[in-house]
Amino acid sequence: MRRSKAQPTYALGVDIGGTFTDLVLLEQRTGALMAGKVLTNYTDLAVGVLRGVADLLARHGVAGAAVTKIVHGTTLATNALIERRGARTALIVTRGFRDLLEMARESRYDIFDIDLEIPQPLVPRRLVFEVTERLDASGAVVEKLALGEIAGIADAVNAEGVRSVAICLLHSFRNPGHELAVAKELNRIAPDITISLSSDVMPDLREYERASTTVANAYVQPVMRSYLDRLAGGLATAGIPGELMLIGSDAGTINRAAALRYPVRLVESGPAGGALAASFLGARAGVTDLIAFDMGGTTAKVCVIDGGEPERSDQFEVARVHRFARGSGLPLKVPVIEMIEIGAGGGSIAGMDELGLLRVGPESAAAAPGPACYGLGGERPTVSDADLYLGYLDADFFLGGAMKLDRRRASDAIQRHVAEPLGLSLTRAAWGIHAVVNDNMARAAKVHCLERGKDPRDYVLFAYGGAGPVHAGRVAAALGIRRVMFPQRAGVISALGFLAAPTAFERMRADICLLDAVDPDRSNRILDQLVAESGELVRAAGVPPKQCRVRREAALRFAGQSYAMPVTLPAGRVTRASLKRLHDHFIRAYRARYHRLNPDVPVELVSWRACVTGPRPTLTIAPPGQTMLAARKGTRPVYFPEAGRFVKCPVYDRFALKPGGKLRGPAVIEEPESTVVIGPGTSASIDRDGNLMAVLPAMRGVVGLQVAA
Amino acid sequence: MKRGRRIFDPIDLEILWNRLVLTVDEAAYSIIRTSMSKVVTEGRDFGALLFDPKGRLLAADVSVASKTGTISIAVRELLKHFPAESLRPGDMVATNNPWWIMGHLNDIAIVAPLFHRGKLVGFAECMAHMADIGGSLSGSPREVFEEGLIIPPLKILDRGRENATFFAMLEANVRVPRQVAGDVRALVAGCAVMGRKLSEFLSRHDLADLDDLGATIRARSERTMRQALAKTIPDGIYHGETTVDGFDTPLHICARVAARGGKVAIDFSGSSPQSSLGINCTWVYTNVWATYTMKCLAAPGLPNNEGTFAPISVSAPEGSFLNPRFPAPVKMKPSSGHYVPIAILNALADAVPDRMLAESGNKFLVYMAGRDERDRPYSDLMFVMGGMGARAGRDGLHCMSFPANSSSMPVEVLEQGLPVRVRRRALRPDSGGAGKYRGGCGQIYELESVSDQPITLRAEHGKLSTAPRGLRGGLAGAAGGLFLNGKPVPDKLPLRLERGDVLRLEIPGAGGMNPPAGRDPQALARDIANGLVTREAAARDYGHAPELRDAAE
Repeated sequence: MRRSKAQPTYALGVDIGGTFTDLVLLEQRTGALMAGKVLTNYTDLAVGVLRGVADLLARHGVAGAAVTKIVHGTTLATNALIERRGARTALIVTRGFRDLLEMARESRYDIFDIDLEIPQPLVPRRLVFEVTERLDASGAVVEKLALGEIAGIADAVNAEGVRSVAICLLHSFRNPGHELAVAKELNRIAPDITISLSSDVMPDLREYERASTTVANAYVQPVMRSYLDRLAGGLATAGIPGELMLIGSDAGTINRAAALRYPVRLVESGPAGGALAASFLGARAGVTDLIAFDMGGTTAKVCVIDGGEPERSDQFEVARVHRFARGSGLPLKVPVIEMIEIGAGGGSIAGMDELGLLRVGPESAAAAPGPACYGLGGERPTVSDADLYLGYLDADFFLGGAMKLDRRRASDAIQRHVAEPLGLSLTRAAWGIHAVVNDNMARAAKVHCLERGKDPRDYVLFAYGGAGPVHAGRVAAALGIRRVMFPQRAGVISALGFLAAPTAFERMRADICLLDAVDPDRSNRILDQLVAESGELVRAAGVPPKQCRVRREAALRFAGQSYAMPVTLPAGRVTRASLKRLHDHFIRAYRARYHRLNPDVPVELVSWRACVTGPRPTLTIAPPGQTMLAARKGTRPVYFPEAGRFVKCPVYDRFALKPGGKLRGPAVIEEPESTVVIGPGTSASIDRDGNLMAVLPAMRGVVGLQVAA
Repeated sequence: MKRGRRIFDPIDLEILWNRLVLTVDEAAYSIIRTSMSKVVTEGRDFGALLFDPKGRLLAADVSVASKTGTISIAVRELLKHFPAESLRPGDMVATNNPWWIMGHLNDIAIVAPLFHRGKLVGFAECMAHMADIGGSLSGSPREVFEEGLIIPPLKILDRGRENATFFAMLEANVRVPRQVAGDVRALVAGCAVMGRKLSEFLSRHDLADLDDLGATIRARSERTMRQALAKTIPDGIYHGETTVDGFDTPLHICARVAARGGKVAIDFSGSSPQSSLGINCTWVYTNVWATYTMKCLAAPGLPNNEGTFAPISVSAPEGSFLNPRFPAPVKMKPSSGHYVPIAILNALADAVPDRMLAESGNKFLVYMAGRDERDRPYSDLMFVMGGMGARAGRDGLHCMSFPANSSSMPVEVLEQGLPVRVRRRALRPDSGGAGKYRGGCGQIYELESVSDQPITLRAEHGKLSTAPRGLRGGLAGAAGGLFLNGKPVPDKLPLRLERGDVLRLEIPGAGGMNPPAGRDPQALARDIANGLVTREAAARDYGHAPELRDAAE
C-alpha cells in the first residue's frame, strides 16, 4: 500500500447489519473518524452499500481515489441460509448414506416439546446422490470409486437446474482422493456447476457436521459471487483503488478470491467486528482480558477476549428454528469468534409467565410494533419502556432526539401487563424488568464462561450496542466484574473494528491418533501443507511473506473423550521431543481448566490446525473532546435501587467529556446512539481515546433483590 | 437464629430460581467436559440434580443432559442407610440400585451432602450411564445378580478421601475399568462443583439455607402444574394400552388415567406380570416416563422439581413388569419403560385435542464389547432411532429419539473407535404411517464386523413385531426387524459377530395422525418426489399419487 505524505488516505469499514448498514471512514494519518448509518437495502445489498459509500464520501468531500483500504462485513451468507435464498444445490455422498442431512444427529433439542420443529436440510432428499466408494477410518480404500456413476448424477443434476454441488464422502478428511476424483469428473461433464468438497471446505471428523458445512458453502457460493462481483465493479467505477477485503467469521480478513472459494467462512462476520473493536480499543487502553457485551434491539451477544485475542471456536449454528435453542439450527464447522446470542434486547417483551413470575424475552417487539414508548402500536411493555420509565433513557434525546419517546405509554404498559398482574408497584415492576433482563444476560454470559472453564471476575466488561451501555453496569455486578469499559461510538463500533482486523486464514485437518503413536514425519507433512495453503491465501491478499505470522495448534483430548482442547505447538519441526512437550502443555492446560486429570488414560491427537496471519493494522484514533462544550447537560430523576427511589441525577454529553475527566455515579452520559448509565458508588474516568473507564464499588450482599422480611 | 419465613416477590424469585438452576447446570457442564465415554459425551446419557435435605427434588439441569426428566429416589433411600446427621462435608455416596435410580445397574449415581457454613442444605446427585457394569454378555440373565456389579449404598468419598477399596472393586468387575472409573470420577467432580456453587449462591444472596426458597419453588410449581393439568385434561377416567414384544410372549401395558381437578392418578393394573428375563421396568423408571408424558402434554416449559410432579401419582401392581420385585432382571428396561408413554397417550388420544403424538418407532440400543487388534478391551453403547409419531397438526419427525432423548453416533466416530463398518444408514421409505399428518420414517442400519476377534453385540428394541399405531384415523407405521446375515434374529439376545458378519437393524417408522384422505396433496407430492412415500403406497394409503406443482420446492 503506497501512502503519500501530502494526500490523506482513508480506510473504509462497512458493516451490513439487520436494520442498518454502518460505515466508518478513518483518515489514516490523523485518525479522524467519520461515520454514517443508512438503512440496509434488502432488495439489493450491493446497491445499498455503494450508495452509502458514495454519500459518506460526498458528505466529507473525500475522493474515491483516496480510499486505499476497504473492509466489508456482510450478512449476505447468513441471510441466504436463514431465508433459503441460496442456489439450488445437490449433494453427493457415499453409497448407503443418502440421508446424512435428513437424519442429522437424531436428537431433539427440547425434550419436553413434542411439537418441536427441526431445520429443513438445504438440499432436499431428491437432490442427494450416492456414489459407490468407501474408505475406512484410516483413509484406506475398501471399495473402489465407481467413477462411471458420475455421468448419471451429472445428468440428473442438470435436469433439476442445480447450480452448485457439495461432495461429502465418508472419512474423506483422511484421504481426499475420491472426492477430488468425483469433482474432476463432474467438472469435466458439467463445467458450469460450482463444486464444494468437504475435504477442502472443512476436513474434520463427523460426517453430518462436515456435510452440513460443505452444503452451506455450496449453497451460498453462487449468490456470493454475484454480490461480490457487482460490489467490486461498483467500487471500481467509483474510482476506489483499495482492494475489497471481506471480514470472516474468525475476525480475519480475506480477499475476494478466498471469499468466493469459502463463502461459508463469511457467515456471522458482523459480530466479529465488535470483538475486534473490543480487543483493539482494549489493547490501546492497556486492557487485554475483556468480555465484549453487545446489547441491541432484539438480542445481546457476549464474547470473551483473552490476552487481546477473541475466544475462538470451530463450530456454530446458523438458521435456528428456535433462535436461542442450541441444536435447533444447521451446524457449521468453521473457525469463528466464539460468541453467544441471548434473547435480550431493548425490544424484549416483559410479562407474567405461567408460574406467576416476571418473564422478560426472548420474544421481542423488534422495530415493529416496537416498544410501547415508540408509539408505533406496541402495547406490551419492553426493556426500553422500563429503561425510559426509570430515567435511564431520555424521552427527548433518543437517537439524538430524532425519535421522541412516550413515557406515559411506557408506564401504562408496565402498569397493565406487569405491575397489576404481579401485585407490584409501578416502580418495582419497571425495576424488575430491568433487573430480570440483566440477570438473564449475566447468567447466559456465565454459562458461556463456565463451559470453557473461565471465571468472569477476571475480566473487564466492554459495553457496546444501542442498549449495552445502559445495562452493562448491572450485568457486570451480577457477574462479579468490577471494571467496565464504555467506548465512544458504541453504535458503529463493528465497522471500526473491521479496520483493525489482520488478514488471516486458518486451515485444519482431523488426524486421530494416540499421541504416543504420532508419526513426526507425517505430522510435519500435514502441518507444512496446512501452513502452505493458509499462507497462499494470505499472500494472495497482498501480505508480504516476511510479515506473516504462523500459529500451529494440535487439538488434544484424553482417549475416549469427545471434546478436544487446542494446544499451541512448540516452534520448529515436530519431533518426538516436541510431542512430549505438547503432551505436557496439554496436561497443564487441562488441569488448569478442569482442576482434575484422568490418570492412566492416554492422550489422543484429534486434529492439526494452522493459522497464518498478516500484521495487525496500526490505526490512529484522534483524541476526543476537541470542542469545548459544557459537558453537563443538566439533571433528571433517575431510579437507583441503592437509593430505593428516583434521585436527581446529572446528565452529561459524551462528546464533551475530555480525556482525564472524572465522574462519580450516579450519572447518565448520553451520545446519539447510546446512553451510559453508571450507578451510585461507581467512579469513572475518560481515557485518551475517549473511552469511559468505570470502576464499580466492591460488592456486598445482593444487588437488585428486594426481599421482604 | 430462627427467622420468619422469607417471602420472595415475583422478581426476586425469578432471579433466585434461575440462579439456583445455574448451579446445577454448572455441575452438568463439568461432567460432559470430563467424561470418558461416548455414551455420555455424544449420547448425553447423564444427569445432575439438586435435592433439599429431605431428598425432595429442587432443581435439575436444563438441556445439558438427557436425564433431565429423572425423578430419582436415591437420596431418600440413601438417607435410610446414612442418616443425615452422620454425613460430613466431603462425603459422597454411590449406588446403582435399579429400584432407586433409573432402572438398571449401568446407571451409577453419586450423591453428596451439601453443606453451607456447617449446615446441611441439600444433596447433589450426579448420575450417568456407564459404558459397562460387568455381568453376563453371553446369555440372558434371570436375576439382577447376573446383570453386573451391584453397588450397595457406600461411601466412595469419606471427608474428601477416595475409597480405594471401592475403586479397586469397581475396576475389577467391569470390562473397561479406566473408562468406568473415569466416569465415576467425573460424577464426583460434578457433585463437588454443585456444592461449591451452591455455597456461593447462598452467600451471595444472604440465605442460610434453601428451606424458604425450596418451599416457594415447590408450591409455585405444584400450583401451576395443577392448573395446567386441569386445563389440559377434562375430569374423567381414561384407558389405554399397548404391547411390547417381551421374549416369548408379548407383554401388555394397561394404563388407567384418572384426572380430577388438576390431579392425575395413573395406574398400571392389568399390565403383565414380571418377566423372568431382563425386560422388567422398576417402579422408579415407570414413574419417570408416566410423569414425563403428563408434563409434555400439560406444561412442557415448567422447571423440573418435586412440586411440578406432585399432582401426578403413579402406581403399578407389585410383581407386574412395571413394578417388579427384587431380584428381577432389569437390564433391558428401556425395552419396556419407553412404551409407558404410548399407553398413556393412547388413553388420552381423544381427550387432549391440541397436543398429541401418535406411536413412535423408538430406538435400538446397541451394546458392543470385545477386544481390538491391540487386544485392548472396548465396550460401548450407541442408539439408532426410529420415527417419531405424527403430532396434532404436524408430521412426525424422521429418526428422532422419543421418548428418551439421546443422539446418534457419527459413523466416522464409531468406525474410528470400534472394529466395525457401517454399510448403510438410510431412511426407510413408506415406514412413516399415512395420515393427514404423516408419521416419521424409521431407518435401516447395516453394521459389519471387520474384526478378527469376535464382537459380542446385543441390540435391544422392545417392539419390533407390532407396527406403531396411528391415532385418530391415522395409519400405523412399519414394524421393524433384526437380521444377521439376512436371517431374522430376535433382539435383546446377545449375538456374536465374526469378521464379515452383517447385522441389519430395521427400526420402525411411526404412526400417522388423522385419516390420510385429509393430507395436503402438495405435502404428499413432496414426500413422493423425495422418495419417502412410494407411488404404490401413496395409491394404496392416500388414494392418489400427486405430482409436485413447483419443482423448486
